[in-house]
Amino acid sequence: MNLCFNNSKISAISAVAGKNIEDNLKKAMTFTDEVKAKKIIKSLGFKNLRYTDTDITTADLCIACANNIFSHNIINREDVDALIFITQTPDSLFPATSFFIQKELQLSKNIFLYDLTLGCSGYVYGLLFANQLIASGTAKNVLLCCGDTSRTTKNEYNQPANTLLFGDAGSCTLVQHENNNEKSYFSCYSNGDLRNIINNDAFSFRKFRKDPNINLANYFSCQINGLELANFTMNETKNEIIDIVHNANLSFEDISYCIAHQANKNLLKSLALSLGQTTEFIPFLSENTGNTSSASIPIGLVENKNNLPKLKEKPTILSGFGVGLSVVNAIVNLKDTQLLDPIYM
Amino acid sequence: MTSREQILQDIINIIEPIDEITEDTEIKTSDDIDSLALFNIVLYLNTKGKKPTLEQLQSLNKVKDIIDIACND
Repeated sequence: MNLCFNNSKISAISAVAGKNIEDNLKKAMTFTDEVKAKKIIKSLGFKNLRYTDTDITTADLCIACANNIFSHNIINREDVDALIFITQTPDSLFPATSFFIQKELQLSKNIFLYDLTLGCSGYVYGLLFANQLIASGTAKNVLLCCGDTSRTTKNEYNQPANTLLFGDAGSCTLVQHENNNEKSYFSCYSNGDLRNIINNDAFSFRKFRKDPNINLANYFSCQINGLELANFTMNETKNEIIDIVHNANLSFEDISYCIAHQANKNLLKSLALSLGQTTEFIPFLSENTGNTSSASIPIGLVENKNNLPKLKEKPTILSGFGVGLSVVNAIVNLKDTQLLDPIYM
Repeated sequence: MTSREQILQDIINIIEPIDEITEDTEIKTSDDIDSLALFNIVLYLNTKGKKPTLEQLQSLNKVKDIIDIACND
């Protein structure tokens, strides 16, 4: 699915990561020897994982980011007319967490609230939806909040190396209507056949309906099939990136960077090489934060804004891929986007 | 045409080795050249227009064999 939008802009991006730092090599050496541990860390690229205290939720992280945007006088909070919250770690099953965020931010009651369960592709998916709201006239000032407290929530995995992947982070992005004739392009690919490649059955009503005596806490375990995920990335994600550049009548020379979901260093390197590009084109930005799910693109941007000078020169590809499985890509203009300094909490 | 030195440097950039990598580095005994590194090297060769066969890949012995593939017309 390919879409093109006019007259919107990404005005500001704020992102937060956990204030606590975990040394990944030390952690790896709790389940393997030093030589293997170093190889694993080199391949993943995550030297450290950032994580929050356990009483902080994803919503709290996003609220801090939204308040950061308000404190920079980029927009008045009463002018926000849509809030999108994307996470896999909501505050509660119901009511939707966006109602809590609305209350905490003291946003208008005349607002469109929307919650969506997505992980690694969530940020770009949210940007697509924000553009749809603007294009349809539903909203003019959209707050896109997304992130996950994966490090402190998904504490059980099918493989020990998967404990070296995830950090905690949140973000808030302001997308606004503006008569600028600026085009942004999106593509969206979803494949439910591959839904079990990344899977967590906690709170699964499908399991509970079949057996009401089941203890769902036993299913609070994240299953990741890394090989299948890598295969998906090297095929679907790569092809979707090629297609969106083609559909926008651009070439890779017209693009500043492809800021991709920070799955891990080696996967991004493979993706870059498969596109015939350098690792500078698809930079690894999360050596000291980890894979932070739907927040990995915004936290990567704000933490590394001084090392990404071409953002101000050319359009940028944003590429989200992962759980679903799904790929959502965008070509957007970040030339005038305010990338606020990162927060750690 | 890219020089052997440049190709070696590209391979080093891809592998990001802990130990020194030279043309004479043995692929099978190097801790730095694992299957993921080899996968990325194959992708790199593809960008050079080279599509090594499985047979060629299985017969790789030293880093210079990879460079030979990249350099051969």
